Amino acid sequence: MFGYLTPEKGELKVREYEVYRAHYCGVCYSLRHNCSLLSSVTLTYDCAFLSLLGASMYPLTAARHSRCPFKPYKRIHIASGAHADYAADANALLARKKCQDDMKDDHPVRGALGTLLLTKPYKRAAGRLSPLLPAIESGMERLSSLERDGCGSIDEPALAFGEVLEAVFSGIPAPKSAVEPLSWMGRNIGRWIYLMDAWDDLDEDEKNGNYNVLLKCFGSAAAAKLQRERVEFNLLHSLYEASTALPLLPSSSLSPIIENTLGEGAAGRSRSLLAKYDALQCSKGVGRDTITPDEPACTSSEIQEET
Amino acid sequence: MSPSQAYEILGLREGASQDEIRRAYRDLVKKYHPDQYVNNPLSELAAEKLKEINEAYDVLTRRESKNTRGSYSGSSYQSGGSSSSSSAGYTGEYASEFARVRQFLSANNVNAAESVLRGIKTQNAEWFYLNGIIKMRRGAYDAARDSLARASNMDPSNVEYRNAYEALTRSYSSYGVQRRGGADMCQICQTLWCMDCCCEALGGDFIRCC
Repeated sequence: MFGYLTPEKGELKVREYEVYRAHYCGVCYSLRHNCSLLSSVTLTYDCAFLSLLGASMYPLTAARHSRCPFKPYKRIHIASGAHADYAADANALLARKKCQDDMKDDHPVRGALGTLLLTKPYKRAAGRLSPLLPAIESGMERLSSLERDGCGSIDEPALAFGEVLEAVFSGIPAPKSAVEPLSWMGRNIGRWIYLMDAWDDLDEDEKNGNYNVLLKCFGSAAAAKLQRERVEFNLLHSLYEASTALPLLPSSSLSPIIENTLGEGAAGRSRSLLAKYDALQCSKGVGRDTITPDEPACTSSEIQEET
Repeated sequence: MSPSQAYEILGLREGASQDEIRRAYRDLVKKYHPDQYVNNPLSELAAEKLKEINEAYDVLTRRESKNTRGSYSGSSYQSGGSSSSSSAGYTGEYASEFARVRQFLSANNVNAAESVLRGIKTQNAEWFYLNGIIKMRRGAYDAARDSLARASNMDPSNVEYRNAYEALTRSYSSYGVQRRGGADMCQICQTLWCMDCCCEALGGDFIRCC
C-alpha cells in the first residue's frame, strides 16, 4: 500500500474530516497496541480508508478522546473497534510485504532492515488474519513471478496486485451481502494503486533499471509519458469500476467520506499525478507532495524524527 | 412487504408524500440501473436491489405490480447487459460458435466463453468484440479497450461494437469531476451587468446607480 487513497479535503464537511482523522488515529492506536510501536510508523492512508469502510458496515463505533503519543500536546479523537484492528493488521501485513519487495530490488538495505524490524508485528497480524494469507501469498507470488519474467502487459501484474487487495478487502468484518462488492472494490483499487505507483516511479525505475510495467509496455519512460491518455484510462476506469460497488454497501453517515475518497479524492490524485511530468519541467517538486491533504495527526517521517 | 419496510428501503420516513416517494424511487432506480453494471460481476446484486426497490414502490403506491412501470421491472435486465441483447445480429462465418460464446457470457460463464472463442480461427470484428467483453469481465481493461477499438474499426457500421467502445470512454473521462450546478460570482456579475444594459437599451433601468 502506498497511501494514494486520500479524501479530497476541500470537499469534505468539517465534521466529516474530523471523523476521517479519528479513523486514521484509530488505526494508529490499534497498530501500537496490537502489533508494535514501531509498526505505527508504517501506517498508510489506504489502511485508514480500510478502517472507514469497516466502520460503515456496523455504524456503532466508539469514539473517545486521547493524546497522540507522537504529539503529546495534541488532543485527538480515536475511532477504535474491530474495523480499526482489522485495518491495523492489514497494514502490518502489507508493510512487511513491501519491505520484502524492496529488499529484492531497489532498496536492499532499507528493505532488509524493515523486514527484520517488522517481523514481530507481522507474525502477530498474520496469526489473526490466517484465513486470508493463502490468497495474499498467491497474489504476491504471481506478481513477483510476472515481474521476474518482465511481463509487458499492463493488465496482468496490476490484476495480480488487485488479487492481493481483493483478499484484504474481502476480510473486512462485514455482513455477508457486502463481501462481494467489497472484493470487487478491493480488486479494482489494487489495480489502480499498482498503476499509480508505476507511473509515479517511471523516471526512478528507468534510472535504476528496475522492473516497471509501464516501462516494459512502452519501451522507455519518455515513450510512456507520451501514452498518458492510455494510462489515464487504465487508472480512472479502475476507479469507476471500484465505485460501482458503493451503492451495494450498507449506507451510513460515513458513506459521504467513502464516496469522496473514491470519487473526487482518488480521481483528483490520479489526474494530478498524471500531470506530474508536465509540471516537473516548470518547477521541481510539483506532483505527489503538493496534493497530500493536511496530515492527520502524524506522518511517518515526523515519527522517525522524534523517535 | 409491510409499508414500514418499504419506506425503509426507499430511505424515507413513514408518511412521506407521493411526490417524495416518486422522487426517491427515481433516484434509486438511476443508482442501480443495469446500465451502470454492464459487464460487471455485481450486476446480479444490483438487479436484486432494483427488484426490492420496485416492490417497495409498488407497496407504497398501492398499485398492481403489473403494468406500472414496464421498463424497470427488473427481470427484463437479469441477463447481464448488452452482450445478450442483439446476438441474432451476426450471420457470418462461425455464426453458431459466436452465438455459443454469447450464450456463455450471458450465463456469466466467462471461462467457457473464452475457451470457445479461442477455438475460432477467424479473427473478425465479432471475434474482437467478444474478446473485449471477456477481457472486461476479467478486469483486464487495457486489453479490453484495445480489442473493442479494433472491433469497431473493423466494422464501423455496427452500433453494438461502437456503443461498447464508447461506453468505456465515457465512463472514465468524467469520473470524479465535480458536477456542481450553479454559477460562480463572476457569472452572476456578468448576468446582472447584461440585464442592466438590456434594460437601459429598452428605456428602463435595472440598476439605478449606473
